[in-house]
Amino acid sequence: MFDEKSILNTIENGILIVDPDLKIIFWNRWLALQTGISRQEAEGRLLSDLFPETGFNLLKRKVKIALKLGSSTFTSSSVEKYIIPIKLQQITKSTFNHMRQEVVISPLSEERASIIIYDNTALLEAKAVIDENLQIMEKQATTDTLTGCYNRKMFNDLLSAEVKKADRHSKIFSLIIFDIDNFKSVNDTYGHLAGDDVLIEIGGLTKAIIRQSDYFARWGGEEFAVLLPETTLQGAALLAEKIRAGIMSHRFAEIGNLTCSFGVAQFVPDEAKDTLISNADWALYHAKNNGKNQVAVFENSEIRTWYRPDSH
Amino acid sequence: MKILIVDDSKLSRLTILKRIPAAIKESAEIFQGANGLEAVALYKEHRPDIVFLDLTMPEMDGFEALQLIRDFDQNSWVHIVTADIQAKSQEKVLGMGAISVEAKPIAEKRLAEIFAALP
Amino acid sequence: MIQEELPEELQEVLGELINIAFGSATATIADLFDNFATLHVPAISFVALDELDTFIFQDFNLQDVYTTTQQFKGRFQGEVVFAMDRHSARNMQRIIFADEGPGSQEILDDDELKQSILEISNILGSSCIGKLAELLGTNVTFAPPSIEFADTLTQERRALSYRHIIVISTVLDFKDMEVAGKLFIMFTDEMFNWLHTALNNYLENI
Ligand SMILES: [Mg+2]
Repeated sequence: MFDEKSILNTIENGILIVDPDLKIIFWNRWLALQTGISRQEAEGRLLSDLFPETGFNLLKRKVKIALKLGSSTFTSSSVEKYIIPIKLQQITKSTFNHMRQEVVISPLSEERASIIIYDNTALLEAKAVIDENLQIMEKQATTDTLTGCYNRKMFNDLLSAEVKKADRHSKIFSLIIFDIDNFKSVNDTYGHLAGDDVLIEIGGLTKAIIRQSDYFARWGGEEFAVLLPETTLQGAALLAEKIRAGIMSHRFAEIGNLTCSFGVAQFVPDEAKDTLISNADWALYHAKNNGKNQVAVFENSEIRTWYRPDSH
Repeated sequence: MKILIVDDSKLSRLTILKRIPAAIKESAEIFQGANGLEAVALYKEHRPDIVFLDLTMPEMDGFEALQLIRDFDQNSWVHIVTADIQAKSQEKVLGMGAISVEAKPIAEKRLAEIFAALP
Repeated sequence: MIQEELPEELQEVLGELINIAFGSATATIADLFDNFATLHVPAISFVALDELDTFIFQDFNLQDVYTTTQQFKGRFQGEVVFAMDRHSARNMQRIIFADEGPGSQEILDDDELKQSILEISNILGSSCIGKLAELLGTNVTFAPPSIEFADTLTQERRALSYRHIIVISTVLDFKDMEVAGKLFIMFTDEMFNWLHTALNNYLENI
């Protein structure tokens, strides 16, 4: 023969029975071990007396609801963190100070509810690690590791989304593609590490010039692209010129001065994403062949030079 | 005896109808309405001995219908049969002169008690 | 045989049973928080999983939707998802925290908001499903609810074999404050057939 209630003391979860004021009627062994408060000390006292620092409004409400509903209520460790404060020992090297708890409150009679406490700390710690890794992976999947701007795949996705938006809500947007002039000779003369530094610096310069709403990506080896939502061709060309001037006046460590060439195009409703890219590409090609260090735009199926420093 | 049953749900009217004690049903004249407007009109027309009235209904709800029936006949005998079991709803209709508030679905036994208590 | 839809007379039965269940849920909330709600007949519709997103987002703004989900088990089993927008969640929060000391109405922090959403979905889910099950002569137990965001709702459910969804548009019409939401009861073909039979029995044994 055994006392069925003694099972409650063998379970590795916290179990307590309370009345609506949260006076403790029963306090199991697990709780005694975790809190250092013995059964004799706990039973007959208010939960708020045992833990004066802790607010119990939520638990009180949950008990009230469970008694009224006649069915269980719950608290979630992802929202409430804990119900009964149990300090975690430092040896566990947890990221949390307190045990994270998932709690089920069930009505036993009109004036009594049971509270079962599950330790969710390990689960949430694992989840935190996974979430963090997922974030890193997501970042890696969308950014160019060298320059920290978006990679080509992400830029393509952003471009597709912008095309959809433009078609659906008749929004306009423009695209800039630019390329470092004579980059091959930088690599050949100063080495690839110096070349990498140039790419990083140009990335930084461009980011400082573009607006918050623009998207900036490394398009290929020494090629970059900027997507400018709600921007006309003129607006985009002006911004391209700003970037061009910014890069031209910058002194790169080791190498000195560098220039870039720019192709700009505005999205034409109903055209394909690839048409926009090839239009900007075509303008860029024109800028290169026309003497580099300049901005060329694609407009009405024609290319024209927007700005060339020596033309003034 | 004249009985008036008012509820926008056919099922709820059917539930009451089916559960009325057989002995009473045999000799009773039963009228049905589906909203508060019909409740008031049917009441004025037939002067039923007992009314079963729902609260949540389109056109005119049971609160308003109860008020109009009470205004028309101080001696009306209205039982509210409702899903609205809020304490404040109960207080309100009892204050307006309803005989009792019954939670849906009303039990056969409870209906027998109601008819037994009829003056 | 899979019943694609319930016959009209059984829809009516279900409608009234849900009306009763929702009445008891409303009373629980109103009485608990010492408030009063004007009861409205909840609108009920049936949707297929594929139409669910359209259904949710025709009334809600995607960025604004909170959903909670809770499984229920027993002879009647499935999952209940409750969706509400931020505006309604804020109103619920004001109602719940109204009696928790001065100034507490102004603390509109995110955890409190989430607590409010979990609370109302717990109450609505338990009382609606619990009462519905009770009326149909059985009872259910609930797994703890969890809170999520609606843009993944359909995607995650697609893997499960929920083929039938009852949508209950709920309005808790408190004085000067409305808490509107949608309760989705999702279940499999098997459960749908069980429901069909149970409703039939109910109608026959009134
Ligand atoms: Mg009604």
